[in-house]
This record gives sequence, structure tokens and C-alpha cells, in this order.
Amino acid sequence: MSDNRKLDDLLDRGLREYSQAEPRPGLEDRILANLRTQPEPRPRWRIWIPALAAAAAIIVIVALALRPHEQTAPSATAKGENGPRATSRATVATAMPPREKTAPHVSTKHAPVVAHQRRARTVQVASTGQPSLPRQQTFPAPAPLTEQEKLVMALLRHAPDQARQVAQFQETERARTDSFLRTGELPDAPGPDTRSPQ
Amino acid sequence: MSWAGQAVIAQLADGAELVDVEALVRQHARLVYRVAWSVLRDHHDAEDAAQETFVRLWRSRDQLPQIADPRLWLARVAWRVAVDRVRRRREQPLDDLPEPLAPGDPLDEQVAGDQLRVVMEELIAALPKDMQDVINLSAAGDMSAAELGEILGVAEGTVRTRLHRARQLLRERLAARLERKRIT
Repeated sequence: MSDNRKLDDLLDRGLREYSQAEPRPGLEDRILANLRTQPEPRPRWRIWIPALAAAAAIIVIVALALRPHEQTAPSATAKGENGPRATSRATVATAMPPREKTAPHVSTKHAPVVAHQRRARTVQVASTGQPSLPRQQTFPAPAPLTEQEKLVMALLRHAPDQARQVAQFQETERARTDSFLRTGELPDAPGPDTRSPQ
Repeated sequence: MSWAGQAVIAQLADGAELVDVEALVRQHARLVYRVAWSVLRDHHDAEDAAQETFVRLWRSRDQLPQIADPRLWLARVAWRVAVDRVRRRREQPLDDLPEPLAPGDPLDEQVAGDQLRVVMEELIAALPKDMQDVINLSAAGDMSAAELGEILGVAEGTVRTRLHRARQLLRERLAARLERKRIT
């Protein structure tokens, strides 16, 4: 019993000896001095800045890559006069049939069809591109007479015979000019109409 | 944050709470050192491990309010730091090996002084690893079985069982060694 007791005491003493370890004096001061040399840790949210920037760049690149290729039509509100033209372009773009990539040349058999499509496209552009004007009751529209037209009207009223002679002369001169342009020879000029009205 | 005066104050991000790191150093540096020493068995390595432990505390000081028991947290970190350092050791220097007992000495004289410590180091080194951990950590400081279990990651009952079994083995082997000395 005494040996067991002695053995237990020896074991307890041995464990105390085993665990007896004291640091050198000034451990706390050395630890604090070491901590003062440590760099200031960055805030945690700063760690995410490069990652967020990279993610934003990737998103922008992907968005640009996936964006559909559209023709940018000029804004109708920016320029009012370009509005109908822009509308006609959009109409043409939607009315155009898809281009056949496998047929680099157009055979003569399909040429009339293509020409017809082009004409139809042109007509559609003309009909949709220009605004329709109001239909007029008389055509051409009545306009005030020019000075020369007023002189001709006065001559017809006051000297109808002389007006007729002038008209005949102009007709004859036009015929001579046409003959000269066709044959290169100038016909003789007819003499003045000496007939006097009866 | 700046080191104003002697106080090492770590202000939290929300500014709602202050943690006195210096107070933690003053209060728990010895425990941290002893935990590290219990694993490393070297004063220089133990102090380096203690320094590293408090550097980790300083770098993660904004999470301190989430730590329920800073003392236990420091002991656990010190334990892990020391274990990592042991793993990095390539080989143990020869001068750190315990010296053999001088034959022929009486029991009380054999185990007197530093030799008893050498005997215990030999006996504990021969224990299974899980028992070594429990013995080393329990010898480092005044910690309960529950705290030892927290640090080692085992249940409190497991700690008690290992402690009891380790003490039993140490007692048997110490008795056997003393018996051999008596015979010789």
C-alpha cells in the first residue's frame, strides 16, 4: 500500500515536473512589440474589390459579346425630317427576303423574279417613303399668269389676225429648225404672209 | 486604427465594441506559451509559437466578439500552431533526447531533480498519440476536461477516459522501470 501510495506521489510529482515550463520574463512585452510591427490588416471588404472589379469586367464583356447586332436607326425625335426615311429603311429591312448564301450567282431563269422583287421593293419604298399629297380638283393647279402670257392674251383680244400670223410663223420656224437638225440643211424661209384679211 | 499609447485597441468595423488585445496578451500569454511548450518541448519554439498565436489573434481581431471564450480560443490556436510546427520538423535534434538514468542510484535519488522529468518525458513519449495529447495539454494549464475536449476536438468523456488510461499506463511503466532498477 505504501509503495502504491509512494508511486502515485512520484507520478504526480513527475507530471508536475514534466509540465513545469515557464517563459522567460517579459514574454508579454515581446509579444506586444511584435504585434506593433505587424502591418495594419486590410478591411475585409477591401479584399473583395479586385474580385468585384474582375466580375464586373467579365459581365460587361459577356454582355457585349451576346448583344444582337442591330443597325442603329437615327432617332426620329432628334431630327424630325429624317423620321420617314428611317421608317422606310426599317420597312425595307424587314421586307427584304433573306439572302441566299448558297447561290452566289443568279441564273437567268430567276432573273425576272429578282427584278420583280426589286421593283416591288422600289415601289414599296416609293409608296411608303413619301407622304401622300392631297388630290387636287384641277391639274395643273391654277396659277397667276406671267407677263409674257398676259401680253399674248392682250394680243389675242386686240389683234387676233396678227396673233394667228405670229403663231403660224412660229410653227414654220419650228419645222425649219427640226429639218435643219435632221438633214443639216436649212430650208428656205417662206415669205411673209402678205395676204390681207378680207 | 492606430497604436495609441500603450493600449492596443482593436476597434471593430462597426465601432460598437472595443477589444483590448493588450489585455488578452497580458492575461493569456503564459497559458499560450505553456500549451505550445507542451507540444514542442522547446523554449524558443514555444515562444515563437506564442508569438504566432497572438499575431493570428491580431489579424482576426474583428472576429473576436464572435468568440465566446478568448482563453479557450487562444489555447486552441496555440495548440494547432505547435502541432503544425512539430509536423514541419524534419528530425529531432539529438541533444533534445532525454538522458538515460544513471544505474545503481536509489529510487529517491534516481527520480530526484531533473531526472524525474527525463523519466516522465520518456514514458509520455512512449504513450499512444491521443494519450500524449491529452497528457500534454492537461499539463499545460488549469483546463477542464470539457475545455481539453474543445481544443482537441473530442468529447469530454473521451478526454476523461484517455486521461485515466494514460495515467494508468504511466503508473504501470514507472513502476516497472523502478522495479528493474531495484533488481539491477
